[in-house]
Amino acid sequence: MLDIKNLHATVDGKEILRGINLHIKPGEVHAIMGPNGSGKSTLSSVLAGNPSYTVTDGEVTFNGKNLLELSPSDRANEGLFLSFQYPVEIPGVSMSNFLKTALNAKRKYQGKEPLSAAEFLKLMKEKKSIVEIDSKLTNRSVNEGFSGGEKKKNEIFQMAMLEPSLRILDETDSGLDIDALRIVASGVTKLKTENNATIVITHYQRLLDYIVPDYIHILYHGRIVMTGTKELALELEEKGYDWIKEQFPD
Amino acid sequence: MNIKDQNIDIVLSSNTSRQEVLNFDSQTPAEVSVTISLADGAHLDVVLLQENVAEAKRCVVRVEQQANSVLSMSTITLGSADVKNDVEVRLKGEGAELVLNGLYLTSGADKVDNKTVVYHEVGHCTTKQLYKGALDGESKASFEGMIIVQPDAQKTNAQQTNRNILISPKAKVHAEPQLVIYADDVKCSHGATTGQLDQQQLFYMQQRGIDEDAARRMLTAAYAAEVVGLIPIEDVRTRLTDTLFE
Ligand SMILES: Nc1ncnc2c1ncn2[C@@H]1O[C@H](COP(=O)(O)OP(=O)(O)OP(=O)(O)O)[C@@H](O)[C@H]1O
Ligand SMILES: [Mg+2]
Repeated sequence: MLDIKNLHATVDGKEILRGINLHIKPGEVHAIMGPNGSGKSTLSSVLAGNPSYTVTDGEVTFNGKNLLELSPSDRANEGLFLSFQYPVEIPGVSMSNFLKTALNAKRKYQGKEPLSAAEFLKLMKEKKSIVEIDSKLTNRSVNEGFSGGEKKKNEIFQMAMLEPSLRILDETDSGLDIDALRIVASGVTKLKTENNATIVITHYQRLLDYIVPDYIHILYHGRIVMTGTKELALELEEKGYDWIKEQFPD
Repeated sequence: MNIKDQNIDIVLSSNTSRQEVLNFDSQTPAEVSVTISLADGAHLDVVLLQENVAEAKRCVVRVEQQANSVLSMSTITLGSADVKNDVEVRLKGEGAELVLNGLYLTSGADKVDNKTVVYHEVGHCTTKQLYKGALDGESKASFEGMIIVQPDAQKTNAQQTNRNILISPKAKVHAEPQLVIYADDVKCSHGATTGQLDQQQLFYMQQRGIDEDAARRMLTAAYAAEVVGLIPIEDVRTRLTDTLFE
């Protein structure tokens, strides 16, 4: 589904990704861990097409298409969803107008008719219950004045609405209280199918108890320096990153 | 009403109130002069609506407000090619209130100029002014706003804000907010800003599948909706909000 080969990317002329290789098949869950500043959010931004980042080398294939040639909105409509580490507030744009526009853009991309108002409301109601998000939030402007945890919940709510095939969760667990973490994580798991894949970026083993990964990758200094199974997270929890940093000193 | 005459007089006697929408269209004379006179305690809500007018229009508005009168005037210029508005308000009676708002959304080769002068001639009057513009294409707009607080106008409360966003790098805006104060016991502020659409917001919307053009339109609508939301005439407010987001 997603095939990343030797991906290099820079921001402001500084090389952040220094040769990433990653292969993800439908149904798989891949966790990416790694010290602060190692390039995890940069990788997700580059995949989503954030224009602040420049790809200087490498290839990315998504569903057989050259991902790097698609506009950010086409990538989204192809099924790539990024749950932002720092979701953006959009005052003056209502959640419902935003989601209706996004959903109908995707339907148009797929050659489908737009949803009727009634169908849309029904879908909102159904998906709201999956992440237990309050109507008080969904009646407001996008993320405006939401608390940190509410914003993260809202990301997963949007993900539920858009039903992406590739779900990139960038530190969705940070800022969530213990109950919210359980609700959000089980929402992610509920929405998992054999046709979608998940990339979970996290610092904590705890999330991976809920969203169980098939693989764990350690991203360090712009490269994936180690890949293991879920036991690797336990080892990191115990030992930290020093032993990795010593092994890869540049 | 659609403006057909060159001269429009709106005169409100004491303690009366009225709502008026002045619509510019292709039948409207190239030069229009509007005179507004509000007696003590009169209340007028007026909207100058300049929507998709292709021909050049000049609009001169002269206002006099007596004691405790209230005027809310909104000048809304959407997709019009060549517009010059020149508004002058004289606050002549204590306790008069003025809300003076404007919105201009321009694109292509549009040219929109707004000039406003408010005279606080006596004390205890308030002016609240918000003009916002969003400029696309190679359009040009200007805002020249002056508030003059005369020596006798103690306890004046005046706020003037002008905000602009340049959607396209080729659009140009000229902003000149001015406060001239001859009294010492007043509360006055003014400011002008010019910026761009927020890149992070644009990217966030695109990440959800909304293409760049549509994302720009939504953000512009959200930005413009602030001024439209302040229009006290409900059906105009509702219709314009729908137009912005459609
Ligand atoms: N827009 C930018 N301008 C300058 N430097 C940037 C920019 N974006 C990222 N960087 C730098 O790139 C490096 C990688 O950042 P990134 O956000 O990808 O790290 P991360 O692995 O997600 O870290 P964290 O765990 O703290 O979220 C950092 O050194 C960061 O300062
Ligand atoms: Mg990060």
